[in-house]
Amino acid sequence: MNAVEMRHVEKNYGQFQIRDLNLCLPSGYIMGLIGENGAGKSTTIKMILNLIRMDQGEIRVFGEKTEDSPADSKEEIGIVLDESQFPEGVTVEQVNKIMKSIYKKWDEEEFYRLTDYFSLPRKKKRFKEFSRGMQRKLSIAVAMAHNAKLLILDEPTSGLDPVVRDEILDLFNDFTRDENHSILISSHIVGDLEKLCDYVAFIQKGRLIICEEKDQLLESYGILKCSEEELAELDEQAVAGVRDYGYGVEALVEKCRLPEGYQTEATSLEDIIIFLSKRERRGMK
Amino acid sequence: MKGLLLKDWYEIRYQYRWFLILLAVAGFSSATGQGNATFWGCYMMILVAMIPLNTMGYDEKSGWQKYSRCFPVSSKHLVLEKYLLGVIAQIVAVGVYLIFSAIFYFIPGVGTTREQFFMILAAMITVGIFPMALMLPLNIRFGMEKARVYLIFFVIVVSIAVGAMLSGAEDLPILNNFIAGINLDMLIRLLPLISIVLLAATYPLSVWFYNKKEW
Repeated sequence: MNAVEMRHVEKNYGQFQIRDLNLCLPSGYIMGLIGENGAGKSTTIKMILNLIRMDQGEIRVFGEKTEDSPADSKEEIGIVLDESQFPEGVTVEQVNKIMKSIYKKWDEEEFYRLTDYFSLPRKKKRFKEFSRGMQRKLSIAVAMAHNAKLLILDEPTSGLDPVVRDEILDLFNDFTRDENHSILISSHIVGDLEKLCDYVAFIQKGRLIICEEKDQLLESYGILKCSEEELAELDEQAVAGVRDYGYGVEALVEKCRLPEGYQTEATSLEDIIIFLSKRERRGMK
Repeated sequence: MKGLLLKDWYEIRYQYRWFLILLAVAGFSSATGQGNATFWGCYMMILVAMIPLNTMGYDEKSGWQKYSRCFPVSSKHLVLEKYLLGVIAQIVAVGVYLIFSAIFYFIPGVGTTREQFFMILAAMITVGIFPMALMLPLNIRFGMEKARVYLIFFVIVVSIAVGAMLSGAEDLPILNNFIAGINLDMLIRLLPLISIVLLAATYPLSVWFYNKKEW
């Protein structure tokens, strides 16, 4: 079963549109949603959460259309939104009491295990006294403490230092050891997503540019360093992006489209995203 | 529902510590029946009516409003919680007035007459419930800031309309007769009931606005 499925989803805000978005996250996997600011990541997440209505298309979570699904089905979804979520006057202990009454499957023990792991004070500090990083940690702890099957996380690691980010990524990895658990995560930090994700969805200007398995994606692209003349000889379709690096050009190429004999270097997800972003900006096809 | 009320209770306790003192002073003053007793009673109720509205403002600011939309709680219950919070707050405020009235009942020379007691109570319920009936749907539809602007606009328009009506009444016999025919006593008794019915009637409207809202 697919945890999330989006088919031909469209949303028009006038100047900004989400166009023909098709995306599928199978159960048991982690999908990273990558894109620049304003690319449409949060809009996509909000549509999945039914916070905004799509103009066209269909979104299903665990096979159920989101607009028809009963409120109870949200038990299965853990959320971290891109902004603070809790009232400023509450403490960790109070959040536990509130959530215990909201989620039927609330796991108090797990919640306190996570908040202790994140070193969040239970009573001494209120939410408004928390640093941004602490606020994100509390949101993550809540999202992971009600036995959700799907985590939808909008920039969950922003504002966190690299060590904590790494710890959180480990938590997310542990979460998906259960094959029924899935994560849809958006982030600017491509390195984090590269470590974590099984699938990558790259959105730019409201359009889905890539939605592929990460390993397959990394395997299909390579970095070719050559002169401009050599590059000009290549099939245009093979070149996904170019940048000047002083001694020639560096190109992101689709390996399968290269003639035999060309040696490429391995590429990273970050390289792919940067090259493709620049190509989109320049309006290359 | 319990979790939502609990969250508002924590928020009120944090934001409104001073309020309990004010509530006690206003309740005491209204129950004495002296001087501006009706004013104090109404003042207390208006303050109390602001509680659900202000918690909505806090929710909007803190991101809770959007977050709570992702809970396994229906939109009907999310809206109902604010109505319930308002009603509970009103009951508490009326309770404070009743407690002080009961105490003063046994002290000769202080406290309200029977007529005064019911008059103040009716005014309190009307003044407490009516702003909620008006503002809750507006807040949900437009958000806290815009809703306040619309309320001010509404008050100005109503004031002008009533002023124009009263000043023109002498020249219009039908209107003059209508105003003269109003049984003020009966109206004061009916107003609390009208307010409660109005509050109940705005609930489905608020749910409808809530469901239409994008976050």
